[in-house]
Amino acid sequence: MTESPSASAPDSAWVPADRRWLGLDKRSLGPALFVLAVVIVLAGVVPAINNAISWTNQTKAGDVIDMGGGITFAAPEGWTLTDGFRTTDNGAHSVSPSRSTAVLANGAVQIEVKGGAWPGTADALLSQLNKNLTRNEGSALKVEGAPVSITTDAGDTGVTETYQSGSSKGGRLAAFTFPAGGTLPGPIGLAFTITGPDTTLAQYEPEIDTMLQSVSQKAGS
Amino acid sequence: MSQATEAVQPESKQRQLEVLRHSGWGVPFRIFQPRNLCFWVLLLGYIGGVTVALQVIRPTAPAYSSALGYGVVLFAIYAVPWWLYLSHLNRYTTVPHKIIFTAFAWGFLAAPFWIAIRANDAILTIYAKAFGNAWASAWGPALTAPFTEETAKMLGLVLLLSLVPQVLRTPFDGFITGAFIGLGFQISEDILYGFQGATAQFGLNQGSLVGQTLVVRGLAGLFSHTMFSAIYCAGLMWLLNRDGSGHRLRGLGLMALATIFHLTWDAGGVYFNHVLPGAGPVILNYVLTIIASLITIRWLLRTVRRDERGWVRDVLQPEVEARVLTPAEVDVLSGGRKERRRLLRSVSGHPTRQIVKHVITAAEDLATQIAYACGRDTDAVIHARTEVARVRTGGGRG
Repeated sequence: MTESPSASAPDSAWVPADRRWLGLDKRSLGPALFVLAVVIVLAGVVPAINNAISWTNQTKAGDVIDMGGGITFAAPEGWTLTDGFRTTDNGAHSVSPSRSTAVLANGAVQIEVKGGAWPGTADALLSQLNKNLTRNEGSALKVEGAPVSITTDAGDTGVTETYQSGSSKGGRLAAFTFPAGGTLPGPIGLAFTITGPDTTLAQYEPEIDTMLQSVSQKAGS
Repeated sequence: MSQATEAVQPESKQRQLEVLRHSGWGVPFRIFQPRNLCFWVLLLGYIGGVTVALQVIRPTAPAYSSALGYGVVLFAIYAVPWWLYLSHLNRYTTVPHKIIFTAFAWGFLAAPFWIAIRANDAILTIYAKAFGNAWASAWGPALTAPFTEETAKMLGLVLLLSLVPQVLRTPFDGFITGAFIGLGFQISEDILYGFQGATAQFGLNQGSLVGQTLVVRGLAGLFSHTMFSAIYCAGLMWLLNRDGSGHRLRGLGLMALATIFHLTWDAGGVYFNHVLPGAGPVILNYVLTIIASLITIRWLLRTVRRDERGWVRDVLQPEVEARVLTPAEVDVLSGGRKERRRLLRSVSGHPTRQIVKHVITAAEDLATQIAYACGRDTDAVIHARTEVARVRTGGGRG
């Protein structure tokens, strides 16, 4: 091979004519297709497999959801527990009341429950949840009526309100608070965000009410 | 190449040219290569990463914008010492900055958002569906992320190997490129965790919650993605036999080891729970993982740098023979802190030490210029050589 300057390639990205396929460097096809294949498997096929598998984790009558620190609520029957634990679940986990979550789904309706440190009242927590929703959803959010107070079966007091998000999607918020002491190292807030299409949401209202009534905190647990 | 140099020192000059050819040091390249399909896949990865990142962040970003802002600023600051440290490691036959930025961006955008987040979510949900939420919560992270995330990060190196094959040739190159991919991934993940963690108090105290994430993730980050990927990608270079050493099994072993470290880190000691009570499993798990990873990284760094150091010596040997540099100065350039300290101790007086430091810096410039000139005596090389002579005399105007 000659070492004269005229023999060198014009630039490092130059590809000889006999090494091209549809204008692309043949040597780049292998690695590029390998990367694309792996991405398709990981980000396409695996999620598709997940979508094809249905949940079997349906709640039964008497199932109680563990939100940590003795805070629990009774799950409505026949819903799918996609996140969170029952009090009867055995596993290498312990639920922290200041970072607990549970998600129950039934068709297009979803109940998202979240526990976290909260120093104020249930009204203040509801107001904070409203503020977050307003920021995230903007003008699409319309709160319907004034907040209503709930007294649970255990005698705790919470507060709830309903809202409209867009033309056909509704929602409901509920907030409870538990003071520090016993198994709770600090004051805890428990927030329920229930969302779904208006029509379906109305259908599940009685069981959602029952669920909210069941919220309790057993100091000794 | 100067005829005089070739006539006087043909052997060392030939060795220099051979090393420059073999190591790819100073070889010109560009990332923008429209004829290379890997370039388009890289671009697709960045676009896909940005798109998914927006989809993930946008729904709750308005309520948690402070957390996002704090996270970006704090973790950008956290990345600075990491960047400086990795750049310090990258000081022999350096991996060019363009490659490093490309690698970091792959780790920051494409690997986490285009690939890993979707695969992780799906696999964790499959586990929960198949084995229940309690099992998925305990074992899911350890049996998901090490496989999906190490693969996602490694794909960036695969693309770069096709884009700049002449530059990325050695396990050292894989180590450095992998470390920057891992750093990008780590910072991206930290910002996301800070953002998600800030929901813990329903939107209150977002700054302090991100601060807590910074402390926890910052400490954990010392033995996390940057290290995993450095080990994994150095292993890939050996597995592909890029350096012709034939250590394919070593490469495979290192890739497996990086995956195991990631697994034990994410498992948090769940497998020890059956034999040890309380916090014991977690502490034992992390202590064992940290010790094993430190031993691995120390051995790996020493191994991957051995060739690089020899190459620096070979590239500069003609300069020693031409009396431009002394053997002790080449020792410093091809060595580490020990050699530098030894040379500085061998001279007395602050002004002389300053001169030695300037000579070392000028010699580094000379080595870089020789590499860029592929061993030829270009104007830049001659200028760099003159600079060495000038600073050696105390720094009069050259």
